[in-house]
Amino acid sequence: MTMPGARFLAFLFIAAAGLAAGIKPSQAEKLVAALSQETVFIRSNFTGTALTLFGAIERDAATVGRSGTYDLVSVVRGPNEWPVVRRKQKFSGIWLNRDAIRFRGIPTYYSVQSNRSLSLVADESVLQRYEIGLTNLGFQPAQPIMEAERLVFSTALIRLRLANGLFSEAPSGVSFLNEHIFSTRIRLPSNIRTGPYRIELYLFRDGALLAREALNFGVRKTGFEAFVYEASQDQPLVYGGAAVAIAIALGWLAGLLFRQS
Amino acid sequence: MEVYLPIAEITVNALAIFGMGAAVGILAGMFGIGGGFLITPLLIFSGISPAVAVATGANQVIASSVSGMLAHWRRNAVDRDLGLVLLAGGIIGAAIGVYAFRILRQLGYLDTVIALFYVAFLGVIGSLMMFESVRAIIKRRHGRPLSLRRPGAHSWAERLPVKMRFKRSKLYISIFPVMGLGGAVGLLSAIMGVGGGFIMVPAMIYLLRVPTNVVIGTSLFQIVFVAAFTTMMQAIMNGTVDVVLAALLMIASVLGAQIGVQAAQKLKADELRALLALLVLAVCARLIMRLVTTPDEAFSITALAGKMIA
Repeated sequence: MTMPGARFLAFLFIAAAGLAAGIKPSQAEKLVAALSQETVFIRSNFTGTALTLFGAIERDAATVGRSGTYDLVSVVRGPNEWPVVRRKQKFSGIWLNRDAIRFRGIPTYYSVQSNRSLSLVADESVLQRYEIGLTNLGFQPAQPIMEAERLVFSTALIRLRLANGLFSEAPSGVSFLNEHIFSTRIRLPSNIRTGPYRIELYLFRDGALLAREALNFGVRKTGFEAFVYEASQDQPLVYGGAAVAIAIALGWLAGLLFRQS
Repeated sequence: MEVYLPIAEITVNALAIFGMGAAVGILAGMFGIGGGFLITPLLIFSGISPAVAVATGANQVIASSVSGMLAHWRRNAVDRDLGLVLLAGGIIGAAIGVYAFRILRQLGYLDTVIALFYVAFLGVIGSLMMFESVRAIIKRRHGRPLSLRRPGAHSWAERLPVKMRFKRSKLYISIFPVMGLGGAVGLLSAIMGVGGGFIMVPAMIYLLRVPTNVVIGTSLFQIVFVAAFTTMMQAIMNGTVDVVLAALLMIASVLGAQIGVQAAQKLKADELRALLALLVLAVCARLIMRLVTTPDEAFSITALAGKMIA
């Protein structure tokens, strides 16, 4: 669950967005949501998991009844990275990496769920502003390149990430249990990165953004795996020494056990 | 049984990895080889990144060489002085290798370079072994005794300056070819994740004219220390040593090696060598296929698992 301060900020943001859209704040809907789990632990047998999010659309007494139905979009983002996308080309008979482009701050995990196709939920310009949808993710190259190349490489990045489950778009991923209560499942594959994850919920009606809400969850390695990984990062000298010691001990033990044979 | 590898950052089937390690261990035991040059490509084929496969291979080599080294040490079959000079070269070679590894990784050429090294070495070794074992089989079938090649009395290694006396080997040779050999093997240890015994042993016999009774022990002595140094360097500079994967492989290959040693006594050596040569050539062919066939996906993403470059 979010902290009260973040919730207040979110509320302010909703109010500001409402004003910008020409809606009086007194008429605004509010989103409330909860996650089934706030920390995902990666253990030795981790093969991926799924979180369930439940939410409700709250309306105060002053909210006027409107025609049309609500649309809800959930955007989940993992920690950012600066990925290098490489392209193999044939060079004297061998396929090897030739061109490479590095993108700035791309989420390692990005998943969009909605109750119906995004193009029906809101205009492209609105979706673009909030970076909702794979095609609306901003791909800023770290070095100046041709627009055509940027497009080729960013499309490849999306394709690869879709293939390994780190990017996803589910136009029917959000289901409404009744008019005001919704739920969605967030699928996390086994290759997810550790770090902070953020879920942003957007409530639309007739293409207009009515409310926003954000939730956070974390992905952490735990137990032996966390210990090993952290040691390799923070204490590489000790880690390397331990790796060597284990190998010597195992080899020596084997020699001892099988000496007579 | 699925196991998450903390450094490789993927989930693998522990039994599959264990089986692979054991199979290579059996071969290693049969032929008295380390098996590193088979484990690393097999790890790559099973989806582990070449960077992690190579660095972890170096770690595994320590375990598979240390018991042999101790056995030779007890029998006084290690030329310590020669081993130390080889080791000095080996450490320089391994340091250069790990540094090159890091640069190649940044440039995105590492996977290709590792594959090319493997193609070259597996191709040459596989062909030589095949040639030699087929010749041996033919000779045995014809009932002729095999003539052992005797190294000549003089070699170019004796004409270079800065000579040193190696008492245990009864040699008086320049340290340059010794260090050069150690360096070459150290470089391979870093880039291929192998011990390098398959180059070290013949080179010591034919180039340096080291007496055969100390060759294996001295080569293992050098390999253990160079592999340990490489493992440390890879852990520090590249962060690509996966101890969980290494431990799985070590236990499997050590057990497999015992089976291999038993089995070798019941089988015909030259036919076995021909089989191993076939296997080596098959792995080589598979690597060549990967290099020359049009990939299904030309693009790849590197987020540089392990250490990021500032």
